[in-house]
Amino acid sequence: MLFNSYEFLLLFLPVTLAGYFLLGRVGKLWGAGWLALCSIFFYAWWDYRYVLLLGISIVGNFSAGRWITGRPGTQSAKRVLAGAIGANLVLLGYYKYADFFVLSFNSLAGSALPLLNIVLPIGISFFTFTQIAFLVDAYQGKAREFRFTYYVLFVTYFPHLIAGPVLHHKEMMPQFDIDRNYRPRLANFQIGLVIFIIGLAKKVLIADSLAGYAAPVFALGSTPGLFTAWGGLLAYSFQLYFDFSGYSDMAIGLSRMFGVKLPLNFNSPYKAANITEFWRRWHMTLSRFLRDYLYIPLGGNRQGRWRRQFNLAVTMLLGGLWHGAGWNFVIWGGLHGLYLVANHAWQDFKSRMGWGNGGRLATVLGVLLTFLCVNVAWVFFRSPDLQTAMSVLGGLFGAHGAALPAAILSRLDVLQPVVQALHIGTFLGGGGQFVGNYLWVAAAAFITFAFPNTQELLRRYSPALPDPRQPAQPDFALLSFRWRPVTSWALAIGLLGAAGLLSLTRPSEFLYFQF
Amino acid sequence: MAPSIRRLRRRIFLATILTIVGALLATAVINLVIDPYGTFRLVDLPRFNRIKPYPDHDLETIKDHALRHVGPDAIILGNSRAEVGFDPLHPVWRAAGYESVYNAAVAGAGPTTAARLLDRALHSAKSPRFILLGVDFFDFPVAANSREIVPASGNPRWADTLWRLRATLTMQALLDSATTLRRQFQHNPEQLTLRGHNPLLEYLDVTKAEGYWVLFRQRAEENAKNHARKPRNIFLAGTRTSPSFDDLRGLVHRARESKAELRLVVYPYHAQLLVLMDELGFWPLFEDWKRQLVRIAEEESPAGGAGVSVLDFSGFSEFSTEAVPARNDKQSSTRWYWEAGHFKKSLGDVMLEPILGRGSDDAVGTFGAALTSRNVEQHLARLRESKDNYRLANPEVVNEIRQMLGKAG
Repeated sequence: MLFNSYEFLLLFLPVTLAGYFLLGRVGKLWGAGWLALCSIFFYAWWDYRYVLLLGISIVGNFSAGRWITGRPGTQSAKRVLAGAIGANLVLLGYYKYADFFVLSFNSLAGSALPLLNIVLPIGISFFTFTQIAFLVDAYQGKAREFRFTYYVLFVTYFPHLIAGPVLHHKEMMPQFDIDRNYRPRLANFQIGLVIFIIGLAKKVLIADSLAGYAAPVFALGSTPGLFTAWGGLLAYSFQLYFDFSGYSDMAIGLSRMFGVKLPLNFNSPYKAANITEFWRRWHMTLSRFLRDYLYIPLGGNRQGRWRRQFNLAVTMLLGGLWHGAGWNFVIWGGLHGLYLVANHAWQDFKSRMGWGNGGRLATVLGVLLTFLCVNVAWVFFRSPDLQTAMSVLGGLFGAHGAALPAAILSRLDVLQPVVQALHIGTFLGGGGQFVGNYLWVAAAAFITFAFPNTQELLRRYSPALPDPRQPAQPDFALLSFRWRPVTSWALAIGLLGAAGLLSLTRPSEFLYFQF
Repeated sequence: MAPSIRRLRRRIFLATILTIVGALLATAVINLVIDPYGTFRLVDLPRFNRIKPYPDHDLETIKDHALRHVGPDAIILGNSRAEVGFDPLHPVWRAAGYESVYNAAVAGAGPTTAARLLDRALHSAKSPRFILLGVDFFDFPVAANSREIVPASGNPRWADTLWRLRATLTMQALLDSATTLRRQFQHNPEQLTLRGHNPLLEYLDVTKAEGYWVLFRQRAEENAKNHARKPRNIFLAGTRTSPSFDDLRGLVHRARESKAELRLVVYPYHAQLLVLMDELGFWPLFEDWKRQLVRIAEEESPAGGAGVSVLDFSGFSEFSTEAVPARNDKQSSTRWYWEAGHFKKSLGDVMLEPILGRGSDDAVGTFGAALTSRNVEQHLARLRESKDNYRLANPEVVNEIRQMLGKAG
């Protein structure tokens, strides 16, 4: 069931909300139990066959976590922790990476082992990571709440189950135990509705509109020219951002209706002035997970400059592989690892030379450079295979020539001399698609760079949980309007909501569901 | 929370919900009145909503709905070639005794879609008495080991209700309503008439700005790319059939059961497209395909072919060999073709005479010859000969096609 579907909005959500608040009057565990049950139903709607797998994963991890908590700091607890993490990774490896390993082995050894063709259980990456974090927290004595109903709800909670945010046990369990969260509150509905509508609009009005421009450029065998390649890549770049941040906003908004705050997952990542900042703003809960449970255990920055660089590269490579079972994702992660290493080297160099931050111009150049680098890496992230990725990458640098639609040039005679001087060719057909592509990219770019993000728009109403270990990013929007409970905002959000609802006829999946 | 703040919040929350509901209602009213797909037909005013935009989505559903609304005596089925070329309001229909005609041809559709639309038409209150089915060779190449799975069609009543909802309460319908208003004031609007015809008037603006050469060339490049990838085969391995032939046979069978007259019309491909077909090695298959059309028509219509006939308009006729205007020539026009794949209404009008008159099987090798098992070989031999003659006389066309195929890989 998709958040952007009629069955979710008209049936599942009202029934779940009503049951939650009615049973919440009887007792918190009743309300939480109902919400967990509905969440499992939500999961089963996708594929009921994997409910058992989800159940085994929950029971196994809960039992291991409880056992570990009873023996803090002991060798046996460490062994159980290692065993439980190993079991989670084996499960994830089997369902997500088995065919990738078979394919890689076949191409290296020249063998022809048959593929297993395993269907990936939806959300497995998210519920596996959530529970690995729980196990580590239990070992470190940070997990204190062990009521099974709350734990089931923590893992299955439907706003985050399929595509995150990646949750921490310690930030969710206390919220499930707050009495007032089981009582309907107008403030929660109001803020939740505003965030949800913004998320819905990002997804169905912007991301889905951009999808049709990105897809042909990344089709198998594509050899796009310079302008077509950039148009398609930028369309994908904004599509992914609006799709995933839209999903996260919808998840945060829905959760808020139940009185529960989720952690922030996006904070205008394309406004980042360097790649480190980008990862503090993009898919923030995954970055937090990778930092806390991979980068820091590897040694973080505690063992010298070179080791830090190595740890960064390994973290990003594995982060890439987490996104998908394919060499393209490994290359994408590797590229980001390289970017991070280069950025750290640059920051070290700057501080040794005693240079400041360079002022506003340097920030703008930094934003442009970061955006460019992130986009180049998206080529590998989006392409169906390495050959297509290299072809699109070549297109971005003019390897397949540069051409504009003949229909446009025939109507703009004034451009002819410039076009001829630059040896830009023409192609027949596709003029409308070409213009539409760049108009949509321009609109998406304007919204991305000029508008405040959802968090900024509703900052007065603390829409999401902040990460206490991350410094708050300053607002960076050309237009600095804020949501307020006034009629004009009610009209604007109402119209946006209606536009979103009117665009649900063909609900499309969120891009991050595949991970 | 202070009561005043609580009151304010309640008011704003209510205002948000009311705005949503109000906007949905307003959308429904706008779409019902403007009716961009001709689904409801409550209001029909010139310079307001009479010209309907050509939809880039749900064409089959829109036509299916309109087809049953019109309840025509005669229907036109096929793909965009038929949709563009055959005018359902041409006087010759009425002269032949068909008062009401609907063009149910759907761009990009093959025999499966045509069969589906015909089924729905035959099950409606008024069944058509005459069926013109445009058959396209390019719908038939199939991999010898293909196992095409035909999706099951849903419950028609539900489909109808859902479509009415989508034509009323969607952003797409609202945008199409806005387009409808705009179309009323355009000189050559892109449109779908209420009788299902796409007159392709917007091409007039394109040809004025860019010339006919661009249209021919662009379509030829697309054809070269698309058709080069097609299997060189029209039957499944070890059989004389394929999913497309099965659908066609089913369609012919049901048409005969309903006692309707059926014309299988082989499109008048322009010579440029016929040369492309030949260069790609499709010509022998093209001939086999016509033989199979004749076989199906005669097997499904055993009483000497009464009611079902195959009319062949393909070949190197005075029409199909119409010269393509030169590059950068924005003045010259064509009389019969928009580009090699799509003939104009002017040619469609010419074709309607033999189609409604059933053609003549004496006119072997000519435009619109009626094919039977008795004359088909002679006819195919004549066309082969005219093809060879055309190639010899027009080496520049052959070379251009070869160049395009080279580029298409």
